[in-house]
Parts: sequence; C-alpha cells; structure tokens
Amino acid sequence: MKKILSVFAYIWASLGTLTILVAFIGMGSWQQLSLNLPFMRVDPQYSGGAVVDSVVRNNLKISIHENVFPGVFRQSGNGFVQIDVNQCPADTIRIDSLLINNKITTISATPEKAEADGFEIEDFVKLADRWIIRLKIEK
Amino acid sequence: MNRKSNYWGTGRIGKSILLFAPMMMLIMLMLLGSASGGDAATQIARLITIAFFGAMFFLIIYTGKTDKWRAVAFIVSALLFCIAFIHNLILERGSMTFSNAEELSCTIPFCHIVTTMMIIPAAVKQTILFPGSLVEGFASISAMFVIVLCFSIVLGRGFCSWGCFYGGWDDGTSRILRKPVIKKVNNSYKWFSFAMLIVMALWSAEAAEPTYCSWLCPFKAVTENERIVDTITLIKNIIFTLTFAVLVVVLPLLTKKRIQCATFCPMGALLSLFNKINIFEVKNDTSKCIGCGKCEKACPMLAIEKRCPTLTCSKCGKCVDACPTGAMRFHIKGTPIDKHTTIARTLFIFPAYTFLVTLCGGSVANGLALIINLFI
Ligand code: SF4
Ligand code: SF4
Repeated sequence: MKKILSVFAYIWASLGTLTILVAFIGMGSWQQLSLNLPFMRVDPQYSGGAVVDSVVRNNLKISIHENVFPGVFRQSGNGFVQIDVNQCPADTIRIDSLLINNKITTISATPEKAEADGFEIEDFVKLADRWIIRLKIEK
Repeated sequence: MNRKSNYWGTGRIGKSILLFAPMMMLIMLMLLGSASGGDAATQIARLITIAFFGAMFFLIIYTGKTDKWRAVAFIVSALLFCIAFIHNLILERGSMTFSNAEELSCTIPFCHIVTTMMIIPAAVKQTILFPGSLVEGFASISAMFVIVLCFSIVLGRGFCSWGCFYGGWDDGTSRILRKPVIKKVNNSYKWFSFAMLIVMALWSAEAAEPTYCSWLCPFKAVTENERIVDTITLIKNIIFTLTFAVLVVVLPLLTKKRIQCATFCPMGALLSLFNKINIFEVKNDTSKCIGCGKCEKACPMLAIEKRCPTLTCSKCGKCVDACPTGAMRFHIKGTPIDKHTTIARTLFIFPAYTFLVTLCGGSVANGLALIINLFI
C-alpha cells in the first residue's frame, strides 16, 4: 500500500512542470474559460454596471448605465449613475432630456468640467476614446 | 555524513548537464517562443536573460545549493520586474501613478495579492471588486486568476520564493548584512500575516474597496501608486513609503528575515494554506538531525519550529543549504523521507524554476533591455 502511495505521489509530483507549461502555453484559452466562472465580472462600482439605455444626441452616442449603490454585505445609500459619451468632443456638449433615476436632466460638459441639472457630479474623466460622467444619486 | 552526497549531479559536470539540458530547453522555449524581433538591445537582453537563468539553474544542480542561486535569480527578477513594470506604465499612461481615469476605465494591473481581498465579494456578490481589465492588457484579472490557481496548487507557498515578483525585494535586503543586528525574532510573529489575511478580506468587503492596495501595500512604492491630488492621497503615499521602508528595507536588513513576507503579506498567508494540499514540502529527517538549530536560524520566513518546517514554509531551500547533516531536505509527501532525495528535489525545482522563468523572464529581459539602451 505504501509503495503504491509512493508511486502515485511521484507521478503527481512529476506533473508539476507539465501543469506550469500547459498553463502558460494555453494561457489565452484558460483565460477565456475562466470568464465562464460566475464571479468573473468587474464590480459595477468600477465598471459602471450594465448599460440600460443608449441615445444619440447631437451626433454623440450616449450610454446610460444602471443605478449603482456600492457595497458587498449591504448597499450604500449613496450611489451613482454612469454616463458614457462615446466620442471625445473638442468643446462644450449639451445633452438634453436624459432620464436618470426617474428624473429628467440636462448634462453639459466641457473638457474641464461637467454639470447636470438636479444632480451633483461624482466623477468626470476624459479617456482617449470617451468621456465618463458619474452623477450622484441617493436611494 | 557528507550532505553534498544527497544530490545526484552535485559536483559532477556530466550529471549536472543531464539535468540542466531539459531546463535550458524550457528556458529558451519560454523566452524565445513568445518573443521575436526587437532592436539590438532587446535581442542582447534576451540572450543575457537566457544565459543568466540557465547559469543559475546549472549552479543549483552542480553545487547542490538551492537557496543561494535561487535567491540570485529571484532578487534580480524582482528588481528588473519593477523597472520593466514602471517603464510599461509610463509608455501606456505617461506616468507610474494612476488616477480616477485609470480606475474608471478599469485598466489598473491586477496583482496576485489582490486575490486575498476578492474572496468575499466573489462569494457574496459574485463580482471582482477591483478596477482591472478582465482579459485585455497587462496583468489582467483572468490571467492572474489562472496563474495564482495553478501555481499555488503546484508549488503551495513555494510561490513566495520562486515566483513572486515582490518577494525578491525583502529576500534581497535580508541578505545585505552578514550578521543580524536584531538577533532574535519571535517565530510566532508569522501568524500576524493570517490576521492580516482575515482583516484585509473583511475590511475590503465592508469598505467595498481593496483596502490593502489602497492603504498599506509596501510595493506601491516601487510599482504603481495613486496620484497625489489631496490630503488623503498624500497620506496614502506616505504610508506606502513607510511600509516599504520599514517592512521591506530596514527590518529585513536588521533581522535577516523576510519580515514583509513572513509577517505582513496577506497573500503569503493564503498561499500557506495551499501548502496543506501541495505535494512538495521541506522536511526534517529527524533520524539525521543533531539539533544544532542552524535551520531555524537560517529560515527567513520564521517557519521552523522545534526543528521542523511549518505551514508557512516557502520552500526556498535555505534551511536545506544550512543543515550540516543533510537532515533537512525537499520531500514529496507520501514517500519515504530517507530515500530518493535527488528525485524529490529535482521534481520540485523543475516546476518552481520553470515558474520563475515564465513569470519573470519576460520582465527581466525587458528591464535589461532598458538598462542596455542607456549605454548604447
Ligand atoms: S509573502 Fe506576499 S509579497 Fe512576499 S513573496 Fe509571498 S505573495 Fe509575494
Ligand atoms: S523552512 Fe526552510 S525552506 Fe521553508 S522557508 Fe524556512 S528556510 Fe525556506
């Protein structure tokens, strides 16, 4: 019995190098496979959550994300709605009649700052391919 | 008993080459397989990297000393990794600091230590509470997930002495002085890292942010840190610098122990748990032990108690090198302790070294290329 166990242990140990090689060589496939795991999605607190509405205004494609209230054990009462402007306008933009958290608002933004009627701005960042505006909301 | 006779190949060129040849092929496969082209500096750097990793492996086999040459490869990997990492950040975003823009675009590189803070959100909310990319880019979440899972199963906490691109820092500083200034460090301090693991996991879930990364990580000082825009970010950066200075530089220097890794890093604690299911271990053949205590004195991870390595052993081999009778040895669980020492050591060193080369080899070559470029 001890001998069988011993042989089994040596075989298992020999598989170590192979496992490492297979993991690295097939990294692309393993990564794709891991995406099927139920927890493999970035928390909405960072990703902004799912896009619930898309509108086109003044030739700008606007994506409105779901309401996000951060928290793991319990949600915070203070949250945000993320709005992506999927181009990088050179100067001022104005987006009228957006329905955010059951309120109609108008957002205006310049490369320096963003404003929204009836909402405080939580974050405003300009990326190479889009602007991200986060509006504060409460439960 | 002559401890050198423990390992087949020790002191014998022919036998050493036989063990070295397959590893050299793996090193070349790993470092040349994925890379092609590049300027002269890149190609020279790649060749030097191959020669360097090959030489260190040969010396491990030929001299029978595991830790001595492993440490050289490990420390050089950590230093060059950070150089290559920072350079990469500067190329991609123009700075080694990050701001809201990187957070909101989810492009922060995911490091393995973050895993400890992801466990509870992943279980409770089924999300990854980190502003990283799932697949794309450098150090994506899925790539790190595969690396952490596979390698902790194969190596257990061997990860911390054979692959972690941070561990080389305090491994390095703990070797600068010949003798420790602080002679005795209580071994039980190692359990503090388990407290850190529990606290960081709970605090991160409660605060809904990776708190160790946001507030404590010593390695922010040498990789990527938050842009100073207000008092909070200033305080964070002061903390990062202090934890690095105290835990990675000063205390390891004075104690000759890897204080950061042994007592503070929550990932180290998590990886220690993988030692339980890992097939490899470092074990004392008590029939050969004369109780000199050299192993315990040598162990940088505070892992040896009553002459026996415990859960937190990182399989660095320092105690094996230090043992005058050859009692301390690499061992495969379920096999006799007094037989086949060479097989056990070889079967461990192969995956461990392959891991080091595959994880850090590319960064070492890139870091080296940057340095070469400074001179030509
Ligand atoms: S203890 Fe942490 S920092 Fe140190 S080697 Fe392990 S994972 Fe890396
Ligand atoms: S017990 Fe030995 S092999 Fe394990 S960490 Fe300590 S010195 Fe390294």
